[in-house]
Amino acid sequence: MLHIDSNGRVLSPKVKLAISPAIERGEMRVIHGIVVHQTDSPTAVATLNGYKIPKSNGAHFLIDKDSTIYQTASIYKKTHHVGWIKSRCIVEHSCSSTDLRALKNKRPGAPIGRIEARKPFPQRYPFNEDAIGIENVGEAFPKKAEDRQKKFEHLTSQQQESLRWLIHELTQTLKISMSEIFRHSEVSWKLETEGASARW
Amino acid sequence: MVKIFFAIFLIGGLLQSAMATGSESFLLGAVENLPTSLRIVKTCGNWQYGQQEGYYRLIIGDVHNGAGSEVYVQFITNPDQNTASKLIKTLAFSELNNDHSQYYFQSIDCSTVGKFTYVNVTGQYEHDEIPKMHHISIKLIDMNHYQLVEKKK
Repeated sequence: MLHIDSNGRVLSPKVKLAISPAIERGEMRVIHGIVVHQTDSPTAVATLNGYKIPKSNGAHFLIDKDSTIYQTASIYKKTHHVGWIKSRCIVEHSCSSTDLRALKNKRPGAPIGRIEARKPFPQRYPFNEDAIGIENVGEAFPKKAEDRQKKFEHLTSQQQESLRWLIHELTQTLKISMSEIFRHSEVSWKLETEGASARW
Repeated sequence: MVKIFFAIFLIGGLLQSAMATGSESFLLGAVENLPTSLRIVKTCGNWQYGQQEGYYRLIIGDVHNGAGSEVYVQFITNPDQNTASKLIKTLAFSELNNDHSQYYFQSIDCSTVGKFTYVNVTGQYEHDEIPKMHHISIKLIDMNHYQLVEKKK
């Protein structure tokens, strides 16, 4: 179990505090899930520097290739890390006829995402409003390829170990179901290989 | 009735004649090979740096099956009697073309104010909690430099 203080900071020798208020948004009142990301950036330093830019986007944790875990935002604050979400009922083949009517002829992105965002959890995926984000340092190659051709590098074994530990601790402490842990590309329209090698 | 039949017959004959005389579509192959992800391609404005001058080509392309999009500006030289036009620079905008901070652009145009050209894009942003339209202006300073300004509307 993690010790989390009243400011949403994880107090653990395994987690380095590097909180950037610039990526924090409003209060996150409830936490339903965790979304696993990759940064598409070569180093943790590059990402941490980016998080200092006012109104920048980021996730709550950052795991470096050498296994270092940084906490970059309060557990109790929202961050912008997911974006428009896919329809969960389409993926899980559980749409009602009303769902299907609402989603008919809607293109990916905003049109579907906005319909989904209005649904209560767990009819939709966890997103910016109720999900913790975990970034892993890692790039997608080749740099100049189109989105379909780009592939993220695999997480290092040290990253895998840290990710597994962090997810285990967060789910235990915050009572998050293991079925609500997703790779970014599962819940939103992103590179399919983002977080594909991540295991928990 | 006879007149309508005659008119149809005449139009049909003219079309057949045009096809028979071989007015080819020279760019058919190029156009057919244009990726479907490139949703808007248009020319706009003029540039001049040193001895070179030309026009801008503005491009909006979709990523992830249209969930998001990206914007590009190309610098193309004007053709003259001896030289074909040439693409000399493609500007991409990392602030706007960002997989983790995605826009969906709906329109693009440009305007000239003084000696600068401004490329204006409108679009939705994936992290907006309340949906709104963003109006972003890109001031083209030279082939390697630009400034982004979001306009409040």
